[in-house]
Amino acid sequence: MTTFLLILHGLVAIALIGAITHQGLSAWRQPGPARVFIDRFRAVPALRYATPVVVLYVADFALGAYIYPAYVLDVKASLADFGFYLDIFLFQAKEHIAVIGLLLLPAYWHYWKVTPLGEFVMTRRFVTTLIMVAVWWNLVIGHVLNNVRGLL
Amino acid sequence: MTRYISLPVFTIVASLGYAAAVYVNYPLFRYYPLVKQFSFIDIPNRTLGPAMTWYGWIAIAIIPAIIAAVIGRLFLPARWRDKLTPLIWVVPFVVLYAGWVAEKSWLLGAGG
Repeated sequence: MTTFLLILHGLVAIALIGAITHQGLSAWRQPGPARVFIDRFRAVPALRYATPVVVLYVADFALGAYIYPAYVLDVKASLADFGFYLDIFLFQAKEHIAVIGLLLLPAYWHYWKVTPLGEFVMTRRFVTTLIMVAVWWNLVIGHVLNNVRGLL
Repeated sequence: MTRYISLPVFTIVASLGYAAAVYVNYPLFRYYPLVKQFSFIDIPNRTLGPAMTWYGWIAIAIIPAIIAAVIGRLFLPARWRDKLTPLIWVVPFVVLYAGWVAEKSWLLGAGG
């Protein structure tokens, strides 16, 4: 069951990383024709990504929080026994960065859905970019740690 | 929902509360996954296995944040709430610093 939930956690994270990256890059884009790939990637209606990002983030956070005890019991102790303290540190950082993203979500929702889009533009960009960076960090670190036995 | 709660105030207070809880290691409760047991106090019993404080840090941060967000929405004028906006830029880095203080021993090789 834990393996299934871990894979689901990863799959939801992949959907989330797609949504938040589209929106995060779109938030910085100046209006204009999208000729090259990166412009077409960013030329999306960013506002429409806010609800999916919140739903996916909360769902992924809940999945991660649910399976976290399995990591503490089965993985963290083994990593400590073998002296893999850097790996443990990276995962501990992941847990705090996940909380940063979670606690930013209400403000993120406010600046996308409540305030007019012409106001607080830089704050909206900052919050969105920070959540995007948090999601990228957590997916990459989670993936590395999931494969740590094969990487070492 | 935004009629009764200020979402930016929630983010600011919850982030500061989480940072403070991590910095001083003061969770609302601990969870012992080996025996699937919650406790409001730290039980010094090795047979219970490792204690998890992460859920308790989040919980203790969210409770005052909800209260502050409701008070902020109902009693603070909008222009005052807008003046809090720059704090949104700061609080994530406060959490990062608190996390660094709490976890640096892993990186320094001494273990938790």
